[in-house]
Amino acid sequence: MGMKPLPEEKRPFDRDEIAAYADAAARLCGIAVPATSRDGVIANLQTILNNSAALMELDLGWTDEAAPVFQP
Amino acid sequence: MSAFATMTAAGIADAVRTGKVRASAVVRDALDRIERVDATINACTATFADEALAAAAAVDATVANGGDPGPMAGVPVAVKNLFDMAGRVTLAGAHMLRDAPPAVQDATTVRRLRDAGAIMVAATNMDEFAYGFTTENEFYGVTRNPRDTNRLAGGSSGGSAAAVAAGMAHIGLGSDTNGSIRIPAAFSGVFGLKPTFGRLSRAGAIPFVASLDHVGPMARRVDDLALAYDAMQGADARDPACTLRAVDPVRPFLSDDTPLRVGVLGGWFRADADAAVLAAVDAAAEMLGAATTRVELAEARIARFAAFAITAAEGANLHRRTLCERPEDFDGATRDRLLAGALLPAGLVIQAQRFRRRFQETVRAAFADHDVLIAPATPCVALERDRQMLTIGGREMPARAHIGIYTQPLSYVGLPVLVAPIVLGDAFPVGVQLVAAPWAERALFRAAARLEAAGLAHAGVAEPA
Repeated sequence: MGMKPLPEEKRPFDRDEIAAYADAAARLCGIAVPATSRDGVIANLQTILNNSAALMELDLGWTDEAAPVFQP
Repeated sequence: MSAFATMTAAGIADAVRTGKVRASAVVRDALDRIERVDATINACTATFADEALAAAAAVDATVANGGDPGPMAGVPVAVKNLFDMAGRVTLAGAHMLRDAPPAVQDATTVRRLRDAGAIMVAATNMDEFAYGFTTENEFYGVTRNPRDTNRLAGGSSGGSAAAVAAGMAHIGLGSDTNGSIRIPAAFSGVFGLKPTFGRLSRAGAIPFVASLDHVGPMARRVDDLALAYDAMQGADARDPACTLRAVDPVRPFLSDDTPLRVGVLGGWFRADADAAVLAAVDAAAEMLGAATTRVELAEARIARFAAFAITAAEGANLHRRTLCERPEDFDGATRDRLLAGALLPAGLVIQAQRFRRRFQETVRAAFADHDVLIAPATPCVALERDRQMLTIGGREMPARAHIGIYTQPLSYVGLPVLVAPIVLGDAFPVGVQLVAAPWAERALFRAAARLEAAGLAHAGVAEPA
């Protein structure tokens, strides 16, 4: 019996998905990614986006505001 | 090795103030040591022989005239080249800034050190724009670890840490956004302080991530670290995040033996550490009488990656124009990280900022029962220069991106942290983070002083082979 696949929304993004996002976002944001940097940019995005799923799933309260000047 | 290199900063200042030693002799000795040692280490990007000797002569003249040149009289300081020094170009490790106009005034912390009588002898190497943990700079070279030149000194304030470890200066000035004082202090085997967010002015230090940037000192002795930290405290209208709280000196309290409630961070803060690192943490905990129950900071992993996202996005926004107009002028590693940050979705970055509030409350609760919490600074001792991977969460991961797994969740909420170099037998130093509640730096210094007095934490002058 094989492992049950993760639901689509929980699966880490693969390189091709990140690459497609990076290319589209760069165009929309007006940023020209040099060809020599494309692989590095994709790798960095993959690290950040694939490790941020738990952050994005947090149910923060209405009063959890980002502070203009953070006071520890 | 000269007698001055092995003296404490406080000892030098006392000797200079009482006329037993001339500041000029101390500074000349530091410059000579840089000349001899730095060809091997590459900690310094510039030395200031003429200015330093002139400043030292002024200190000596003050003493000769019966005046007091200040509590750091004649103490040699190495300054990360992120900090403005009047009349000098501030490089921030970037080739593209080499032709920038010279700074018109000192960074506030540099000015306060000078006002205390300290002498700036060198500017030090760093990762470009402080975006890195290793001080491997495409333009200014790699800074080697003075305790083993086959290892990295850590970063991004690696030049300052290495200069202090190798006896080129008694105090190093650095900055820390995600671990850039704590990691080089750990790797190079010196003491390092990242104070509470807002405690020390950042004015005149080229920013990286305004939400997370801190500045602080490094030294080979706890007393010297306290001396420099106390000299730099105070409100500053030039930095909107700098606190208006009263100056809170720590040096008078180093020998305060009031009991400290000490705990050890568990979970995230132990899961991926090497055995040698955990042994050092546990030895420090035992010496400080830590409770055996581990303290858990829920969601530390999320905090770490929230810091990661804020760093990439804010750093990218700061450099957006240059990234668009002349991307080829960046160090390749910095460019790729910043470009990725420029493409992050806004919702992720806002969520990362809002989560700061919630994690702040988690951390605050942990300090209801503790004055000091202990954690590793890094998952391993100083990385060998050719090592590429670390095992994190059971998987092989790129080492350079993950050295900061234990430092990032703590700076994310601005906690004060002091790294103490723990040395067990002949083993390589292990940096241990002593962590306190916001504004409670005094507890950190008291704990570090106890570790030092017990002989567990110490930082001798390294003689690079």
